[in-house]
This record gives sequence, structure tokens and C-alpha cells, in this order.
Amino acid sequence: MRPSEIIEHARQAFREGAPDRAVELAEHVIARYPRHASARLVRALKAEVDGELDQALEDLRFVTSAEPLNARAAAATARIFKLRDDDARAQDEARRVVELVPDVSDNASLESALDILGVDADALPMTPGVFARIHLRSGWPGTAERYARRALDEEPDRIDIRLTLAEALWQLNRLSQCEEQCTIIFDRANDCVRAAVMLAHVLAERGRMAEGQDLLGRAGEIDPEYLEARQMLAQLEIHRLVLPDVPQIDVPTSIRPSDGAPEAATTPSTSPDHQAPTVAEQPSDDGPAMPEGDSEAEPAAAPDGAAFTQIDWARELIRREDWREAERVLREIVEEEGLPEVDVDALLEEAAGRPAFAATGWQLLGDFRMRTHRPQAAAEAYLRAADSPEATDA
Amino acid sequence: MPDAQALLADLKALDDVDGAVVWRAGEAPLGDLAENVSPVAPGLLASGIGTMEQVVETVGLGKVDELWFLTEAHQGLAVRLGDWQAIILVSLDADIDSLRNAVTERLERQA
Repeated sequence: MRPSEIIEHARQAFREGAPDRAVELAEHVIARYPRHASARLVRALKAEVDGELDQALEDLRFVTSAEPLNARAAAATARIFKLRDDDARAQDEARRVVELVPDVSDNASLESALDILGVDADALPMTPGVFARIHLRSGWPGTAERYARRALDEEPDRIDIRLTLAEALWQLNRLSQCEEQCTIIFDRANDCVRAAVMLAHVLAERGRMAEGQDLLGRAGEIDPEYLEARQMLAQLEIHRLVLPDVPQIDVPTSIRPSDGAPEAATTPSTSPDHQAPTVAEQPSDDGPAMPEGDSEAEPAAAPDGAAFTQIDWARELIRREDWREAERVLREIVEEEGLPEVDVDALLEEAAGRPAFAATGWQLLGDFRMRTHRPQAAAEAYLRAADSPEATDA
Repeated sequence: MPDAQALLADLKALDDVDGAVVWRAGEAPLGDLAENVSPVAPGLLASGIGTMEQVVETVGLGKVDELWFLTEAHQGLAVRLGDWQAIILVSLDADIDSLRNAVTERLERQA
């Protein structure tokens, strides 16, 4: 299983009131990837439940350093400060949660923060930091930059806001200024994955490929599937960095998930409308159940009504290494109008990252980029297709 | 897509045309090239021409209508008309001027 799949099972176990099982799964990932941020967060939440606040804070400090925009980690930190009667720091952290503008899937973090701040949602302050996050998410990096700079004038030590500024500059392709901000971030949070990805890209663009790849590799210790990197790099027309294949972890039968229906682990999306979907049926070694033996069948809907999208289906087929069916579904996705470019790019890059599917995957990515009027990026994908070995039959 | 396939067949049927690639803006290219050419050649040729067009436009030289290239074995001609584009590969001794007219005429029918 992919580490992110295991962590989704752990989160689900946590939601279902089984924190022991959650931490067992998280520890299994940590044993292989000691700096896996999501696994460390699950372990921190369990420690919080157990009242082991020092241990929880230690993991949370690491998670916040690696992922300064992680609202769950900030909310947990705020709760722990509150438990320790450190109201000032609790409120600082809670304000940070609010300014991170957690999406709808993370209402619990926002509720925690509002509870600590003692205000209703109606009374939330609209600070420059809030506006910076909203504008960045809405695809307006120019205004996001202005708001982030105003917010930093007031609070220059806020790493999350500086990261928002760096990402705005990155999206504006002002790489030197982005690099400057990332360097400051590294001084304070030297595990920051998103800053590492941006800096790796900057280095690669300057011809310092080895340094860029090395930096990306460091981010891979924390996010071994490079989910953040894939999402960020997919926003670019072209990049020179090479993302390793998605790793798999053997899960012993004793802890292998057998109950419940976790959210499918997917490449994160920039849009709140594309949250990780709920898988239709309980996972097994073969993954979520899809229509069997009927290649024309449409993806099943989840019992709770959540849609299992075509992109999810394709990702599942890639995971199963069902290349024939994956190719059919991916071709449909490439030809479909209106799907978010960033999501389709990430999906096709994931497919192309599998050696058995590399030639077809890169060619499909080239076709998609041609369809979306990006010939230069398409040429890059086609060249990679030409350099890839022929795909083997499933 | 049927339009593109019909156009491709039409271009390929022209005298002296060894291979052709056609596409409409917003669609993936469709090609009919020699068997010994890489299967990604239609995509590479189309995206390469598209990149060249972007470059020419970016430096302020205007929109490209035609591009012609010569190798030791082939002449290549890319023609754009509205949303439609075509590339033909022909032998060295082919009359590229008359072929240009033929390709343009066929693209006009699509436009």
C-alpha cells in the first residue's frame, strides 16, 4: 500500500474512535519513513488524547516545520497550549488556524480554533493574512502577494504567511524573490516541504540540477510520495525535476486494514471541490471495488453518495497496474472538456512515472498539453515518451 | 475527430506526400507517418511547430502562417489556417509550391 493510503486508514480509525489502531498504522509508516509528516501528526493526535503533551508537541513542532500550512497541526498545538493554561500561545496558534483558512474538510480544526478564541464564525477577523490565503487559493497570486506583504509587516516571524508569499511569487514566476523568501523560511523551518520544492525548482532552472534533485530528495523523506511536489510542479508548464516512483509499503496481516471505508489517498488538489473522495467499498489488497469484468462500466458511486470520479478510478487502475483499462480511462480523461488541468497533469505524471506505462503515459500527457494549448510543455512530454521503453501489456 | 481523420487521409493521398499530421486547436494531433518513424512523431512535430509559433509570436514577429524545413531526405511544410493546422512531409524533389496550395485549399474546406 502507499504510505498515504495507510495514513488515510489511520485517520479513519481515529475518527471512528480507535486511536490505538490509528497509531499502530502510523507507526508502521514511521518505521519506514521516520520523518513522514502525516504519520507524525497521527501519532501526535494520539499522544494528545493520552495526555502525553510533551511527546505530542515534539511531533507537532516537526509537522509544523515541515508543513507550516497544516491547520490540523496548528489546531492541535493550540489545544495543547490551552490544556497547559498557556492562553496567550493558545490564542496565537488558534488565530493562525483561522488565517490558514482550512477548507470544508477540516471544519474540526476551525471549530477548535474558534472555541479557543471564544468567538463565533461571524466574528472572525478578516486580516491581511486571511485575504492572502484566499486570494492565493482563488488563483490571484498578485493580490495574494500584496496582502501577504502587509501581513508580514505586522508579523514578520509568521512562517505560514511567508510561505504564502513565496508561493505567490512562485506562481508569478518571480523566482529570485521566491528564492529569497524560501531561504528565510528555511532559517526558521528547515523541513518545509513546499519551500524545498520551490527552491529545488529554482535551482534546476538555473542549471543546478543535482542540488535541486538533492533538495527534492530531502522533501521526499517527509513526503515520500511527493504528493505536494507533484501538485505544485503540475502547475508549471514545464520543469526539469525528476519525481521518483510512488513507493509501496508491505502491511503485515496483523495490522492490515480490513474494516471501514477510508478516503482515497489522492494527489492533493488546489481546489476544495476536489477533495479526496470517499471510496465506494472497503479497501482490500485490490483497492476499492470497481465494476469487475466490465471495462465499459462507469465508476461506482459511494454508498454515502460521494462520487468516485473518473480521475479516482484511473488512479486506482494505475495502482492495480491494470494498464489496458488504465489507458482507456486516461484517454477518456484527456479528451474530456473542463477537467482541472492541474489534476489531470498530476494524474498523467503519476501514470508516466510507472516504468511499464511510461511511454503511453508521457504520450497522453503530451496530447493533453496540446489540447490545453501548451505546446512547449507537450514537446517535453512527447520527448520523454520517445525516450521511454515501450509499455508492456497488462 | 472524423474531420481530422478525413483531412489526414486527404493530405496523405496527395502526390509526393510521404506523411502528414493534422490537428485542430484544442485537440491532440493525428498523424500518418512512415512505419519506421517514432510513434510519438506526430505529437513531437505538432508540439515543436506550436512551440516555434509561440516563440515567433513572443518576440513580436507576428503569427506564423507557414513553416518550411528541409532535411537531407525530406521537405516539411506546416500550414495553419484558422483553428486547423497540418504538416506534410514530402520528398526532396516534390514541388512544394503546388503542394502548399493543395494543403491550403483542403484546410480552407475545414475552416
